[in-house]
Amino acid sequence: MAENFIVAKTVEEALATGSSSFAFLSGGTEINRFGSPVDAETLVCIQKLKELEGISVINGTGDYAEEKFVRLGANTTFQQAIDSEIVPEYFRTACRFMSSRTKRNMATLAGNVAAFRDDSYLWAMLLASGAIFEIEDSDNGRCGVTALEYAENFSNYGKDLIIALLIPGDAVVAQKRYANTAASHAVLTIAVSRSCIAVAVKDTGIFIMKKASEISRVEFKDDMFGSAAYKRYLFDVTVPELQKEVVK
Amino acid sequence: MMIKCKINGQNRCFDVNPLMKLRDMLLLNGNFAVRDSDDGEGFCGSDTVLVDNLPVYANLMLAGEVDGCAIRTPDALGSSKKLTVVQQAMIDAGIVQSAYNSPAAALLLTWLLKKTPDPSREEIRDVLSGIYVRDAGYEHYYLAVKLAVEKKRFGEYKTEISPSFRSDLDYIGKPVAKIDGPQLVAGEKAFVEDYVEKNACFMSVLRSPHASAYINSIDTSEAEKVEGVVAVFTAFNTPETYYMQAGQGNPEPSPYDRRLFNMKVRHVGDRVAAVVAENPEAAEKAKELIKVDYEVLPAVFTVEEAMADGAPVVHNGTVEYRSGAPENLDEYNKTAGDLREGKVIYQFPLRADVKKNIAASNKGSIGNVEKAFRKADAIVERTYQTSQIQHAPLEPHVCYAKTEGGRLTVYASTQVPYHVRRIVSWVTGLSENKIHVIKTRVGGGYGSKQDILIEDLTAYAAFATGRPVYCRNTREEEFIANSTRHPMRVHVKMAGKKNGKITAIHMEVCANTGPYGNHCLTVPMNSCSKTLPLFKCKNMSYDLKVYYTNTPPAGAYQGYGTPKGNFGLMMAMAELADKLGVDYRKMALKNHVDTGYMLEILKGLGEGRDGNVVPVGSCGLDEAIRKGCDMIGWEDTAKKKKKRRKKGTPEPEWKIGKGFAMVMQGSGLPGLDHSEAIAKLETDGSVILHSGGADIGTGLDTISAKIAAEELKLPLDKISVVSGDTDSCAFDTGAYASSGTFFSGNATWDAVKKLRVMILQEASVQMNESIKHLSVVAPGAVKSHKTGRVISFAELSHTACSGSGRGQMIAHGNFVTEASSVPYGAHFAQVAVNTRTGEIKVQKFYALQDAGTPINPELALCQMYGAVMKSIGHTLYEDMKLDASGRCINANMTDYGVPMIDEAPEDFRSILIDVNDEHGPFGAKSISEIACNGAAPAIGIAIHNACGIWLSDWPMTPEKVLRALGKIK
Repeated sequence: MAENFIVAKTVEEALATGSSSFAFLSGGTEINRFGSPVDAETLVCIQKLKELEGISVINGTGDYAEEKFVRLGANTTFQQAIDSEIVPEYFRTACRFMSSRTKRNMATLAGNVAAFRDDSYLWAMLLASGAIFEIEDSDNGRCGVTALEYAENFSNYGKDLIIALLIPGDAVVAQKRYANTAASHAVLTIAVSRSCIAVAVKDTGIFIMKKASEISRVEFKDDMFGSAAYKRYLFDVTVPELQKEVVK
Repeated sequence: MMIKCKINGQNRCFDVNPLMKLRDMLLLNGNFAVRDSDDGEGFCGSDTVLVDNLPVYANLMLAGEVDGCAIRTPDALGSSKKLTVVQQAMIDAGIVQSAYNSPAAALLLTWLLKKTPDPSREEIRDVLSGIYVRDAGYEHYYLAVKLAVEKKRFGEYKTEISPSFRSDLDYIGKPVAKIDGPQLVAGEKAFVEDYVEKNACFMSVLRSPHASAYINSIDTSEAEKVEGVVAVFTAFNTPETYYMQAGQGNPEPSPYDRRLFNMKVRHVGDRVAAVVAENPEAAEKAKELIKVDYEVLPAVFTVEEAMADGAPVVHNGTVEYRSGAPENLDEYNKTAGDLREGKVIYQFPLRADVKKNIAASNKGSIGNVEKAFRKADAIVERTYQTSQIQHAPLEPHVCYAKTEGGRLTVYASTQVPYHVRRIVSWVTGLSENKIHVIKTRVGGGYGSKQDILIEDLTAYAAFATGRPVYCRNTREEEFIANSTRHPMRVHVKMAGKKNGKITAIHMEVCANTGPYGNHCLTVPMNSCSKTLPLFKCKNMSYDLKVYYTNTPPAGAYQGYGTPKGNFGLMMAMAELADKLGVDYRKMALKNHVDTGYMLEILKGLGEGRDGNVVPVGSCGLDEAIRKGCDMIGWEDTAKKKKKRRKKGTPEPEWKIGKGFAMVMQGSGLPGLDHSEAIAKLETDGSVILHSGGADIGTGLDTISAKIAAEELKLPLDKISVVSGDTDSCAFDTGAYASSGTFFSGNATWDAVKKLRVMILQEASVQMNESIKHLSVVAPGAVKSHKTGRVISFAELSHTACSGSGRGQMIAHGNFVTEASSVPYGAHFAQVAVNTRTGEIKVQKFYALQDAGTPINPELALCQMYGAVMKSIGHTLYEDMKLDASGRCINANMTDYGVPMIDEAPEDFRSILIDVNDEHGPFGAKSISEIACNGAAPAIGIAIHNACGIWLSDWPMTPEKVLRALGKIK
């Protein structure tokens, strides 16, 4: 349970908490909720950081020089993303998976990314689209990290401050979320792009693959959300449909 | 940290811990209408506020986050004396019922209309997506917005709120704003928590981690040392009084099988100890320091396990009977187990055998069922299984008790104030005159508050300590330590002839009552007594058994066992129709009862006694079926089946199907229920009505006021209703079994009719005229038809109460009856089933019901919407899941799966079939419980109609669809 509350006025201040056990607090829907798994001594409130706000279109650099990205500040809420006309529809679709408007007013994109939940609204889409995160830590400064790299090395990046999400403007992503009710945790969220398939499976994990057949390496589990056979079946029948959508 | 913010336009400064929840800070500021329904899970929306003009959950924000922000809370919208357009529209639309989060909903809709003056249905749905409504459904929220828009634009409503009934009456059958609506929607003091005083102690209960275990010892010494701890209660220092927690008429058809604390715990979540402390933190800390030595025992969780040879026995103590003890009882008790098993005391025989885990049983028949089966053209035999379901009211179980003036006062959110008083009397040893139960407004009951689950212990703690004690269940406790809907296995065998005539029905019901026998006989009895009488069938039989197990407890739930029995019967009838090649509609029309048909089957289906064979009274069933079929565009199921077979072309993956189910319920329990009311004419001619009835948000107080207004020709605002207060009102068995309108309403009617006679008699004296020339006229006066003279109630009453008067006019009414006023109806569903993914969408749902004269038609419609939504939840989503140790693993709102606005059918209609009843007050029958009975079979039949599978288990999940289709194994 948190004992300290710090309001950061700058990114540097946010990164210099001096606490070994801290968490960044932005929307609060994950950290402040009952039963939250976040266990930090210090909460660093980053809501006032202007650098973490705003939605804009930017040109890529380096390997991505040919591409246009939509840059969404880390503190952008799900609802702000939905309301923005410059945010690609596939991204807005994923944001709409969070059924509660009230929660969407609070929950931030970076908060959902950093929570790295296996029922995440966003992660499958972020992986499939090839999103990039602008992150900063006190040792290495600011850098760009692909969603894939972030996911694969979550233990390294988990404490870094996400500054923004860069979303490929021309990506084509088709998605499907399965859940008991709209407000329930997802049992399976699948996102398919032209280059890959990503899936978040409740109580199993988040995976990315080139071909659907690679799902065989994933060991689905029976749980209260459904049997392993059910989850695997859903994956098997959903991916081809989403692939058709992508091609269309 | 100093937090500076604006709350409702006022600058405020708080020196608080920045980690404090925003809601807690707002409570410090007095904004108690910012409520909590989910312990801060961010689901129910009772804690919705605006921060910088955006709706947020106050429990998910910290005080430190709102420094410099502007906050708006629901209580600042408008007071009960000066409601806003939105608040008034919500009341007028009928959605302010139990109202625990009505203020939050008003805030959301106000915010929406400010942003979007004429919002679309989609925009309304979106803004309500974060708020959970269990009582009234969501449909009339759209109406409320429409009314508000019209009022703002035109200065008046253009849309009809609801149909009106009985043109000869002024109030009855008309949509008239609920009398307690303003207080509720404005977020004023209403619920138990609003009456808790600053010096109150808090009680927290230590619960068992084991499904079955003896308690060897409990060491509370360290807990008692915690500063602020007042007392710790366990089985070792509390009375050995046996009782049960079911709120039923005395003597109860439920066994007395528990004490305040038992020496054997029988489910995960069972009471082990309770800590009373001066603050919640001390109570929680002390709880952790209690050391319990358990002797863990094997457990049973299903009826199959409970009935197996050699199964662990849930109650292996001695059995006693208060009457009708069997001759071999001494012999039976010789094999009783450990003394820590305690006792089971039956008030009268329920055909139990606790050594076989049977808490109660019953069987009976009419005609010759076996012969009819032999002669049948087709027989369907199926087993249906229903799941364990939570009521999930917005307001959890909550109680505040204190001693004052040598008496115990209990503030309770209850459906049964007089049963609460009786049970508190038993556990404390106080006589009933020493106990005052005050039923506050109830933030959702649905049967769970018919059981005395928290009041017994809270009142005992206040009595034993002499300190005011407050107790409130956590949401997890609502799941693990509350009553739930009995899981049931319903086996149906049904036979028919080629012409569609049903010739025999046999039902076997096995119910799982969990560790204690609350309503163990009556709930499964309803599976038969409120379903079999739908059929004009000469050969019917039933055999029901109720088993003790170690699951979380079961108890009363809206509809009792009817939704489950009806699920089995209707599904079996549809399958029989299918097998016989008969259209299901034709079969229903051919076999349903109608007025005058003698219900022989009821003779064995009393609630622990013989039942009454009565003829069917008023009955709108036929009209409901025909009208509903027209509305939904019913297609002959036999023809559709053939058509489907003929087609060889690929079909779309989303398949559409239609289904319906006949439904019935009761209006209270004839011969058992009892209601009373007292009507007082005040000295200014106004009336105060003291009703024993418990308004649990359904509008019973408004019904009482309307009956009085109608009978006495008084304006509604000249009538006030005091109800559910055991000191000032007369006895009433309570709000359950759909008794409110019929029993409490009839008691009120009796009282005001008697008051009317008193008024005329008094007028006769004062006017010096024969009573035969006098009549009561509006607004509240007596007129002589001989002289034309008019004398107001005010003048009459003033004179009657003067120095030379004959005394205040006070009438006492009561109501008991052997008559049955049964509501009937038919519920229709259109579903789309995705045969690739198993997903099910309820596209259309039409609930058509005969409620007699609906006294509050707008509230009646909303109760139908609410009950149907609940039942859609039970049918498709809701399910308490237990792990191998009996622990509920989805004891929270998100994982449990209650339906929200996103799950509501897009085309959703409630229709009231106009039928007048001869026994109900002004022709009224009951309305809401019956609406729980149709969704499961209607949806199940529609799923079959769509894709040819019969699903027999709740909830009907996509995975079960896929398994039935053979897509997964």
